Amino acid sequence: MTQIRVSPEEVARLGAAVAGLADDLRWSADHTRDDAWALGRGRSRPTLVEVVGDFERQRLLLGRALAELGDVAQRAGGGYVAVEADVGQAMGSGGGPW
Amino acid sequence: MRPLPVEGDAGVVLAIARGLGDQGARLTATTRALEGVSRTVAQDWDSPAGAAFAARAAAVLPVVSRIATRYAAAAAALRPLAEALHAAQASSAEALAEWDDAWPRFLAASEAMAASQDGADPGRQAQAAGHRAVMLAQHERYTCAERRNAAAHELWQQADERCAAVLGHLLGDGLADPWAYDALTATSREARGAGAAVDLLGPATWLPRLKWLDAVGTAGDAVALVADAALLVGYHQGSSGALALRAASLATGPASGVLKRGATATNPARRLVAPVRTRAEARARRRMPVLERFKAGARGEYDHRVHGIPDPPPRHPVALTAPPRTLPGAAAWVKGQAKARAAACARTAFLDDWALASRGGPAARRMLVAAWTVDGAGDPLASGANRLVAGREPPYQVAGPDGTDHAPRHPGPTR
Repeated sequence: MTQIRVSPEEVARLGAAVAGLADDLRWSADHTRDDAWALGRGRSRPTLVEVVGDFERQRLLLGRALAELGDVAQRAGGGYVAVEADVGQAMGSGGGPW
Repeated sequence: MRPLPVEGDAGVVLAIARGLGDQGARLTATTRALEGVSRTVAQDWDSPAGAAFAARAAAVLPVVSRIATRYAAAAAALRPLAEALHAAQASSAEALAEWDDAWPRFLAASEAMAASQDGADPGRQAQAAGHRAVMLAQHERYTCAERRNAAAHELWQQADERCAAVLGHLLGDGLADPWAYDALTATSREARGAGAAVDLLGPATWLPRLKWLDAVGTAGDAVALVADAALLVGYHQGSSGALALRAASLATGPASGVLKRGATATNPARRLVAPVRTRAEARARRRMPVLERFKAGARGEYDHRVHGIPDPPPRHPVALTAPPRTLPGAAAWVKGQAKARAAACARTAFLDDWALASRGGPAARRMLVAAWTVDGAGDPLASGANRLVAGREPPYQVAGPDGTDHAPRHPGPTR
């Protein structure tokens, strides 16, 4: 009998947080780039834009990976709720043959 | 010419620093949560699904951690810049106010001194010295204001240089290096499963973009999860088919067909490279990378669905018997035929495929198990019977493996 001790709710919650993180990253990069004028005309302004924007591709990929991870985590959480329910039903008096 | 003020807005810089700091803190917290859950998963979730989750999280964690560090360090670098900018702007504003007051007085005193010196009146010429003293005093005031403004600029520039140096150092943190890209690409590819194969078969290839291909792509991660969940219960615990079906209900469409065709695909081209000497060598030649299997499976499914290329006939055909002419006899005949055909289909659809996939290595076997579970093949006999009946005769009761009647519970395989 497989033992599942991971809380599916915890995994699903983490999945939702991770999926939201991707949106936060995108918003943060855009917002910082728009407000970078406030640093003045020195070297910091273009460097800050680079800091938040030079990993655009990585950020997009990370966003996708985080969204997928969040999605998978949420689905895994939900899926294992069902699995646990089935396991519980099987262990009960009215369980199936397996 | 009026000196330039120190440009910028310290309040907005502080807001940027606060935003990046908060973002960094959230990323750090998420990193720790992911690490914690992954550790728990690795210890307690002893299954392919748990391992897949931990692997995906592990691939993402270093990148998230680096972004968290980058944001937190950028916030730390921006705060002193904001303070210096605030001080420099305050000093510059005071200096410019002084300059604005002294400069017109200096001009007026200069003009008055010139007018006094040019006049013929000795009394007015005597006032020239006083105007000159005022002019010199105002000159001192505005030049002092210019120096204070320059010092304010210098203060800001030094802070800007320090901030830019820290930020520039962050750019070398490896976040933009190819390894991060590769890690994320690998994560995405692993997570997307069949979707990645569909992307490979996209517009750049001979295969047109079709709705069912998109469906495969959409179902890709679902298939990945389903495969993991199915492996948990169907591969290591072969009797718990109901659990596999529950998890497999997440995925629909032709995904199972792609998986199954990919699992049973062989690699004839590799046999032609050089003659094989041992069975192990032949087995190794037959093995294909997982993505190649997805590709072969997608192409086979495309041929089947678009060009109508039929599947090979069963290698264990079932002999048909003539149906009885009486109604009570027909019912028994239907039961018997369905049971026999179901058994034959199960043997053809599962055991033969299993033998073929077994020669392709563990990856092919895993794909085939995933295909079976996605197919809804928890009960092979019922599923095989459904496939036999579908589209040929009106729905009717199918004999189960124990000989009792029961309605078909799951749709038949897609191929």
